[in-house]
Amino acid sequence: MVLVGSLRATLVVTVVLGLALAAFVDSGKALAFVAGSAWSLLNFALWGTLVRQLSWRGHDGNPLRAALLALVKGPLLYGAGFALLKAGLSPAFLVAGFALVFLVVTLRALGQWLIHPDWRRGATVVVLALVLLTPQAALAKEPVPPKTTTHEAAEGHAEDVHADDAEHKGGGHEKSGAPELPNIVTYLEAMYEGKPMPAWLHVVKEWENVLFAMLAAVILIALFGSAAKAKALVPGPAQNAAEALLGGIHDFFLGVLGPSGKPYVPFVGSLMLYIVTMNWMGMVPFLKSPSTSLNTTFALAVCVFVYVQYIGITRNGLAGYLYHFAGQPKDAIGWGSAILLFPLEVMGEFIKPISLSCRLFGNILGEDILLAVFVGLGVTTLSFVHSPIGLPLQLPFLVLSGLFGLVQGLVFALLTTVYIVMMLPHDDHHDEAHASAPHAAAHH
Amino acid sequence: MGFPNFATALAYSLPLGIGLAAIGSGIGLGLTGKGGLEAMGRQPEAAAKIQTAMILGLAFSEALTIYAFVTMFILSGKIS
Repeated sequence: MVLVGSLRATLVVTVVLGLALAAFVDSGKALAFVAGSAWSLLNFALWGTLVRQLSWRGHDGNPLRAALLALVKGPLLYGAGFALLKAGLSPAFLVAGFALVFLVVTLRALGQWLIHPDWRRGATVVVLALVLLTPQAALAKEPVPPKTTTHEAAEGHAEDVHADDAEHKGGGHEKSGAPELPNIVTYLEAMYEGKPMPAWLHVVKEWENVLFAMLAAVILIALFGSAAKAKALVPGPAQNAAEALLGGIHDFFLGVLGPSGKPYVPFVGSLMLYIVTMNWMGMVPFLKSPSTSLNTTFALAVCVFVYVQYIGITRNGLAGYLYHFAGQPKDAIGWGSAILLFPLEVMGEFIKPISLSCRLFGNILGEDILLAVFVGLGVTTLSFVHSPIGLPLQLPFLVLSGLFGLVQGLVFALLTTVYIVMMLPHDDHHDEAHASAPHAAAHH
Repeated sequence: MGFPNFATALAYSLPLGIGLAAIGSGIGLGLTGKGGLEAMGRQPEAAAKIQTAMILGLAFSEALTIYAFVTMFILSGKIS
């Protein structure tokens, strides 16, 4: 029942987003959003019931009931829809609410594509969590460096639009800003230099990192979806590459997690693929690494944090979870030191996402700045002959940043794995050894 | 503004701070890599496990420089 699951997921998303809107924007818009989403949900439910009543396969199909439904509930629902539209709620948020259920259904349909049944759930969770959390982090509008650097880079960029891809950024006259390679948004912005920017460009610029992060997700889904389509016995090159990659990732993380951690491999694997894709986007012209923004990396780290706590509670129980934080005391001395250990462990748990996000953010930002500096250097080298393009001085660093992007994605996923392993019950291995020995004996 | 002001002090100390952090984590990275490679050379069959642990260690020691780097970015806006 894809539809029922989608409706349930939409309900959850609506509640979360509505609360976030009420907290960050204002309650009227949140109301509009929730009302739109609720109406859309009812609409979907009505049509779903109609289709089920009229469908050919069910014996419970009842055309009379369907007609009654269409005659009574339909006008009511659409009347309510018109009332909503006339009620003077914020139209943009109303439409966003309407669109939400379609978005969720589309995302779920995309998720169904993914290669392995084991992968599907994790990938859907990751994609949904990203779609949810990234905008929230961006909404918080923290004064993070990347936003300002983008802005300043755009300003510096406006002078030399017509040069080739290698622009000199961040000259001495600019205030502090780190150099940054131009991306498609900076180009668009430069096109409107001196003129008033259209409203959509403001939105795009504000949500730049989110858009690029979504692009990374779309790239991944398209890539692996197309690879999964041809499930040939003798794999073609694309399927072969995808299978080798997924198999390698699966084996690697399963080796770290141990046999009891098999359900968490999809999450960690998708995380790694997603982060590596985002890191490598900075090396492609006209694109930008979304992970050069602390918002993106922190949203990912928050996902990891919540998931790890969830695993800890579900696998250990609430009491076991707290016992784990107290350092698993066994005697009087242990319980005494638990008073000291408990706050420390809790604090350490909250420091983990901060260190996780800062590491990824700093590395990728540094690597992109390195590229931009050398591009700038290449341009200044040839600037005295007014050459439209610069020397490709950044080439060796492209190789380096490819390696760095891979390693940082791996490190993020590996640390997530280690956090998960730390949360899993510790005496699992003994149990398994005990359980498996007689089991094996019985078989042979 | 007089000479010994906050901005000047920052302009001198930020690169210095990153350099100092880089010295420390460079030593740490070198030691980790040395240990990992020696262990892998001694026991090539355990290379995968050692490599995982080594990468983790590298990540942790490298993070210290990254913290200095992030601090530099937060503070570099104040040099005007």
